[in-house]
Amino acid sequence: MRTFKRGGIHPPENKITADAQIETLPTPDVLTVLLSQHLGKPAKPIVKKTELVKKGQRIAEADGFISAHVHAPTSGKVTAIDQRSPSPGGQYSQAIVIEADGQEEWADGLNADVDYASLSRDEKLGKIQDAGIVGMGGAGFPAHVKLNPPKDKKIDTLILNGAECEPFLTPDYRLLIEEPEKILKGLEIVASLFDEDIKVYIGIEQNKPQAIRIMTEHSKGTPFEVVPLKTKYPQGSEKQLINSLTGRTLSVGQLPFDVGCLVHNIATIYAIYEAVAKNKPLIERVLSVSGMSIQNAKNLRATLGTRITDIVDYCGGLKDEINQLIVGGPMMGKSQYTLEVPITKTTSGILLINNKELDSLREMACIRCGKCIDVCPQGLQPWRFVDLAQNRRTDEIPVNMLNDCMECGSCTFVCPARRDIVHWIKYAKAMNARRKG
Amino acid sequence: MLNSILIPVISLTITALVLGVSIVLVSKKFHVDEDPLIEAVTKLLPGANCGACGQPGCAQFAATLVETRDPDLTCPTISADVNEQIGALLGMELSATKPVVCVVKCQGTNAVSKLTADYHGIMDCWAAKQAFHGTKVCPYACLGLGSCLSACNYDAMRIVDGIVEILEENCVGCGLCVKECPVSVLELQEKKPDRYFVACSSTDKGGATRKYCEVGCIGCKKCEKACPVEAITVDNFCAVIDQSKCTSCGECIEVCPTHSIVLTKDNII
Repeated sequence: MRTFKRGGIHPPENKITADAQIETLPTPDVLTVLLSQHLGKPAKPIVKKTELVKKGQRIAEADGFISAHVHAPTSGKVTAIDQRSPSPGGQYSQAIVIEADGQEEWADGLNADVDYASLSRDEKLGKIQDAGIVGMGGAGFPAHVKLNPPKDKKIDTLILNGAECEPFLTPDYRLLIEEPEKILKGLEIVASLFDEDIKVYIGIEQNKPQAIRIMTEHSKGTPFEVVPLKTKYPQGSEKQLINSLTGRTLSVGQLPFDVGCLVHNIATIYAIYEAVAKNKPLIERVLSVSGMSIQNAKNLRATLGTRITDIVDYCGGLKDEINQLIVGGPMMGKSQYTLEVPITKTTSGILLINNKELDSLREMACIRCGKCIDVCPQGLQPWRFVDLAQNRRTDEIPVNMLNDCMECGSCTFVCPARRDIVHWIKYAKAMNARRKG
Repeated sequence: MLNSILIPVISLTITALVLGVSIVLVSKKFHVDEDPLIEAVTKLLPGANCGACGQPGCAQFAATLVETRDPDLTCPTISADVNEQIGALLGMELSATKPVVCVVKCQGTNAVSKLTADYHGIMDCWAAKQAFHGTKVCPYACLGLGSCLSACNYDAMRIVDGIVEILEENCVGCGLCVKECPVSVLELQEKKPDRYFVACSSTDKGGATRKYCEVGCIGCKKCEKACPVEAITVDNFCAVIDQSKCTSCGECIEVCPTHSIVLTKDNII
């Protein structure tokens, strides 16, 4: 069975929501729509305070090439434009606060069936751009930019990323089981943007046999190939998945289109289908609410901008004290300090944990065991980066090597000295960015 | 037996003599005359190579000063006495040094500033800044993790109760910490016998500041009105005292409702 060659780890899976059907969370009364839900510059608001908005109406416009539009997730009134709203990424960003009127009234022309087969390539890309779709696996890279690579790069392989290697998270798995037709149609739309002989893989880890079975059944008669993958973290990382499926290796500083590949996440493909075939902008997403401290762990289809406190209430509240709220998975997610944080386009899960070990975790000296080097899927030397960062010598770390680290957390997971390797690497990246400008 | 001792001893002695003589000759031939002034000036400098003067280090400062004789090139960290001594060595009048000292424009200790969460990451302000600006609600507050400490060469800072404190007797005003601070709460101020300054940099509206800090400037403008010489301006909900106009009368400190104006007495050598 195929898997990527270098490094990797096997964290406990803990997929406690795997059998929970996706439930639709009722739209709460107040929504905080962040304007920085994607990689790149935050969107610019185009509505004013007290303005009435309709569901799906564009409320903020992309600012620059790498940026994405933001839409009103429901109909209602703009009550404030908050300049400093906590965003799950660990920063503060601008947000538009909308008070829902409960009418759920769609803006003109949205939520209607479209005969998308007759659309041209540019029209499809335009629809994807208008819908504000970004990579929903976590990075939030605008989809229309990714789907439109430079002319001199030929894409010969399209990969649907169904690995979902993060522990706890199950939204992609549930989508595969519950909406296989829509995902395959979305895949057809994306494949139609490229040459006809494009090879399409659907990579699913072997620990999801039901998803593999359902997708294999549904993709019969299509040119898409479902490939079971040997479970290993971080299989769902773009570069690792390309290596698993095609055997191609990205050297330092290369991007997927340099080796002719394009990887898209299941949630993104689903959103692309909704945008092109249904004219729906990206205003809701599926996410897992999981962890040991939530009363009922669930998979939810939630409106973007819903605050986590509303989600926790819907799931029956907290079981006991929590000391960690993580948005995303346990490996790459970020800790939050408040339940007031809203969910964004890239929120694939919410974890509520009472980690009893948290206070006793202390960084100790590196014992030079080399485990971090063994597990690094990118073939880097994490301990060396930490060494330099700790001595304030971040300028000596080769920049393209540092940028090659996607912060998957494998090194931190295995480190017997419990060093915050990923945090040091993030620190080094921040310091280098600061030095540059 | 004797030969095996004698031969190496003699041959080594000859080699040593030849090399020694040639080294002496070469050093005579290629001798570079360095101005003895440079060494004399360097000896008077603190030798911390802090770079506050704009030169890479103390020796380079001395060399540049001796070469260019620029009266405006002064070391900001030395006292007026030493500055005069340097001037006397060079036989010229150097412009007077303005002794400055670093101040923290924040009083938000963990006791008075509202906290968001426990921080379990790397103890460095720049690292904490990526995780919701550290643990304080106030976005302008000192993060109290000590990035400035690692920059200070003079042992003039320490962290007390979640905020940095300047040990003014050690601070020479080199300004290295100011560059290191991610939230810009550090500032250099000219030394004065009685120095009043606003120990807050929050530009949030008064109500917002009040919510997260007991000692933050709320921009009420009471000090602006009380000041007899118009040295205080309230801009963006934060008062600023113009040190060149301030007469150190102390009227402002009397009226400040949040005690965000602070009085410091500097030792001026």
